[in-house]
Amino acid sequence: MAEHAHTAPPSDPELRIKALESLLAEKKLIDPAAVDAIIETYETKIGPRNGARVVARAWTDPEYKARLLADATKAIAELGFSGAQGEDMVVVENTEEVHNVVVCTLCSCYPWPTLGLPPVWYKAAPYRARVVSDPRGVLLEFGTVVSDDVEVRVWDSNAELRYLVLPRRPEGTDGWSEEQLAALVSRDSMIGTATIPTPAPGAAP
Amino acid sequence: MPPSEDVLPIDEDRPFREPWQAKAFALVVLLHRQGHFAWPEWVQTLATEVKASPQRPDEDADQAYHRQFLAALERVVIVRGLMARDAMTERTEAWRRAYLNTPHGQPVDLAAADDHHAHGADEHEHALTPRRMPVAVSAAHSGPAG
Repeated sequence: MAEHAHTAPPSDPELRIKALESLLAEKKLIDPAAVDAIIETYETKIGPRNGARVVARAWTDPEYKARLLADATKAIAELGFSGAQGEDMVVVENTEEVHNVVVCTLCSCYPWPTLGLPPVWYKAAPYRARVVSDPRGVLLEFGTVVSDDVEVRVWDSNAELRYLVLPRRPEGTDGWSEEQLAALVSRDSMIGTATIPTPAPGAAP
Repeated sequence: MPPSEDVLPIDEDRPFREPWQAKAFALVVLLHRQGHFAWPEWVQTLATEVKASPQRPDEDADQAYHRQFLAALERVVIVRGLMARDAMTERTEAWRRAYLNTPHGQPVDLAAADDHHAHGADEHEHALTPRRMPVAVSAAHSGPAG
């Protein structure tokens, strides 16, 4: 066999995906171009910048915030973000008394239209288990200190409902534009594993 | 706590390290979008796989997740009757043979799987036996010399 020129076969998972894709395409169950379009969308167009815009709007427009907390799916769609894994959204607000954090204890349910695809740690067993049993300890590992007089609520996203945290607007941002505020909002602050630090004086406008 | 329990085993933002992971994701989204299964059914299948087949010592959290994801995709496709396990296995091996039969640098086409030079498992004996016979013969004609 060695004398034959050949191409080294790729990994087993890659061969299995090629098998699935080619069989599904032959049966006309999928259009390979549609597969590539989905990949491009999720790799380049959908991400936590979307969620950051929702948060910044809620910080600057009290009426929008009220709509967001009352019917998140609808309020988020107002900004043009909807679709798979964003059909039934619930926004939970961080306050002086309550800090919220989101997990999917079973697998990886996550609000794609507003946050994109989840980070590795969100899908991994330690986070899924420990944020439920020891939320304050896990938050500390993220460098997030939640004071003892603040209640921590852990929300379990699932196939029917996905949660998004509305983080607290940092001090010292009075008069900032929606766009400037959105730039402060991190992905982890909308999962609830981070808070948004107060920007350095003179950092914006 | 033991290091293996750290919640941040990998600090990585890219959703997919390898193209096949992106393909698997997109196939799930597309098949769901086309109505082949409801989202809760997919989540249930994935959650079952995650639970039944946890991270192994030789893989990191990301590798484990995508392995579970692919297995769940195969399962939901079979359960929904979109294809049979046998056809899937057979096609996987056909792709493997196609690579082996394609000279390096050339595009790999599935048709090459059935190339008669195939050296898949069932052909080892044949491939390893040196050929002592010509593969085709055009008989000589005796006749008046030109």
